[in-house]
Amino acid sequence: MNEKKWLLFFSNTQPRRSAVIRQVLGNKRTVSSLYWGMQYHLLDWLNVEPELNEKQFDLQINNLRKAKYLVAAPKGLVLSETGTIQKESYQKKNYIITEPSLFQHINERQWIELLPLVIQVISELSYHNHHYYVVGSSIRAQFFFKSWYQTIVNKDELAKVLKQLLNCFLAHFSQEEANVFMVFFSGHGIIGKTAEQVAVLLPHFSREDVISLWRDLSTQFAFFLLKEDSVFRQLVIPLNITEKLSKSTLITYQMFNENQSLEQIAKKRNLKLSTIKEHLLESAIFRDDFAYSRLITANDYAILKGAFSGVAIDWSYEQLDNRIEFFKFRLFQIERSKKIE
Amino acid sequence: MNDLQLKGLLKQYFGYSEFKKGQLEIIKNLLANHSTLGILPTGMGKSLCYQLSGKILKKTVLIISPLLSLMNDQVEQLKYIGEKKVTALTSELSYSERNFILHNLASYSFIYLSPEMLKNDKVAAQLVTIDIGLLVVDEAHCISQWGPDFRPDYLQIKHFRKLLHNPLTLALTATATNKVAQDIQTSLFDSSETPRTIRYSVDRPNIFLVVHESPTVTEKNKYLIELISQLTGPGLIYFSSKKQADRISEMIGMKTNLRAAPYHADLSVMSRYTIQHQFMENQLDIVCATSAFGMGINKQDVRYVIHYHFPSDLESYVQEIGRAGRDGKKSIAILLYSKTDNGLQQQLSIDSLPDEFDIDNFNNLKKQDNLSSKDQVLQYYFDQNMKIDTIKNIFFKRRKEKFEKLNVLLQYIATEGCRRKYILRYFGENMLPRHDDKCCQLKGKQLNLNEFKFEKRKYQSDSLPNYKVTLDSFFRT
Repeated sequence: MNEKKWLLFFSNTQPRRSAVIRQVLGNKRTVSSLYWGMQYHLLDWLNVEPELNEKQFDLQINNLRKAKYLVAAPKGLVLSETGTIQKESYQKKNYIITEPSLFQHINERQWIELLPLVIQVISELSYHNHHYYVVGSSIRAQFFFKSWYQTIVNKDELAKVLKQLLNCFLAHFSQEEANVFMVFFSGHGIIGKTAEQVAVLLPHFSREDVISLWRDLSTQFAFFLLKEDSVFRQLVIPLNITEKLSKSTLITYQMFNENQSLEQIAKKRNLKLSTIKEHLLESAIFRDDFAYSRLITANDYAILKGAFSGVAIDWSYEQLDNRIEFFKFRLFQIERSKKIE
Repeated sequence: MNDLQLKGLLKQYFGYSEFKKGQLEIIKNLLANHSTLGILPTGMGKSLCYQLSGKILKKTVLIISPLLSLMNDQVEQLKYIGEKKVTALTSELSYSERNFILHNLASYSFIYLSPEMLKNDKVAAQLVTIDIGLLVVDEAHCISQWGPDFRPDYLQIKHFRKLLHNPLTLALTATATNKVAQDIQTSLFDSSETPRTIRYSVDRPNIFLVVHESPTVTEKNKYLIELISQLTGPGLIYFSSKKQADRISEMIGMKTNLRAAPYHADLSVMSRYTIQHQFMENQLDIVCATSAFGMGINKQDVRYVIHYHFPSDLESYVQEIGRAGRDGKKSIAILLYSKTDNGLQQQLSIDSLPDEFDIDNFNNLKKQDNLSSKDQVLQYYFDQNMKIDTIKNIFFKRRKEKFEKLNVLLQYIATEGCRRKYILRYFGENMLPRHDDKCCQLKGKQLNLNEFKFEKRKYQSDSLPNYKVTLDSFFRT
């Protein structure tokens, strides 16, 4: 893979990004990674690289250091001048996912198994062909598809509708992008191509570009289907992840909204108070209607406002001399960062 | 039911006019209610035996199969011939999906089962409620601890059969020495049962056998390019390493006008489908594969199988070259040997077994999820409450056996005599054919490729189709 891709997420002033990039892209959620991900404006990229391997990532970052694209700074790494040039060049020459924020809202793994199956089965159906090898997909995806398919009353309409939807969706993209997207699929009398084979045909696309484009458009197509009123909408709904909060965090957040105190929640849930506070920080990061004033008193606000101004990311907790607990300080940072956005 | 009627059904369900060697005999035995051990060489259509029997018996067929990919292939093949009542119970399914299948078992004609499901009490409890006409143990050699592919879960089958009141059973394998065949019988059947054994020679007379020794990797690559530039395709090249499969496939693309693609476990499911089917439809000339390729592939006209790396034993070699010439036409199997590969193969085959250190280490660790395949095997033995020294002893023996198996293959490479006779003797066959110039290339003899050569083909240059054209061809509206 082209490790220069990681340069896109580094900056020339903020040195502590490396671990945050890995955790956010790989969807390894901790309050710290989410908080810093928010401050670095990286949260849109949450779960875009779910297969990211820590060892490999570290090795690649090391290579970028050796190439002097990243240089050491106190507490981390920043982009060098050549690194910035390489970053810009990567942006120009390579395909970069245009809608990264969708990846945290869909079970992508299941969707990319399901989509080729849907296209193939409906293609063969339109030719009334029952003798074909079903496209590579898990038994699970086939099972999922079958359950949906059995609910369809007018199966003869499926091909027409799907063709219209695909035509309409692909009209939003360049012809080349649309061609690359469609060439992956197999259908009646046609076998698709692999990313390697597509990259050979398009010299300005690397294998990785082809894969990024396909994932980008596949995911966008899922959300296109969610918006359109067709039978295919039901196919995507179960894969759509609408809740950003983790299960346990959500329970805490709901109890918090029922006006229960942090101590009450901790006791009822048999969890440590510190865990409850982490849940609430996560909720504050993801929810725009978070009730900050239930936790930060007017007095706290007065102290915080007196101590800090400017960009929240630059504030130092030490400045408060323990007058306010760290949890409230962090909440205030989240609130202010969101207001500035 | 007489032979003519059976042929009629073969035509009706599968579209073939003739049975292959051994198929008819196995089916007739099953229809006469005799449990059977079928040892048929690769490419002789083993799965058809139970598929057709199932259609005739009109009862559920339960198939235990060791590999998920193989199972998926077979489910697809059955669906391809129009059999809709087929399902697979595997660990891949979610809890609710598995429950749904379990509660609807009686509605399926063919149920594939992965061996780890045998340990699941719920699965067993549901399976005893249905009328099983035939139990099939696919790749039955996996039950033998003497065999190279031993799967501990397979040892549960005997107990499982008892739960099902020992139904009519068909055990299938492609390659089994007499020792393994004996082991299958005792590990699967009660002593009171007398299953029939139907064995057909592993010999594939239409496959010419060749070994080429290369002093260096550079020479090997050069020779490979020379070979494939002359040979009639389509062809398969087997590798022990995924990286090498990628590299050589790329090299072929650059140095020849042949269309090659790699195939191994690192590819996405979708890419694997694409490559397998491009190959089936002759849109590819060569697949550079690891052993992940082809367990269930059904391509009749593969003209050559080249081994870039030699496999770990003669059983695997015979199985892999068996993918050539299923149509009975002249084909060739070439093993490219280089002394430098010895280390790689030893590492893959023998070092993959747990040694004393691994066993101690495993014993000291607490139970974990996500066990490696090495650990899964160890887990099995520890679950049997065996003493650690006994386990160490078992693996010491197995390492020794693997080492001996590797030596059998190395002797095949080194043999100065007829290679075919060497293979057949190893599998304990008595009828040895006479060696002639259509049989194999003897060590040190010049290889004459004239019979395997082809005219240079020209391909239309490939381009990316317009998506609108694709949509029009995909959906007839």
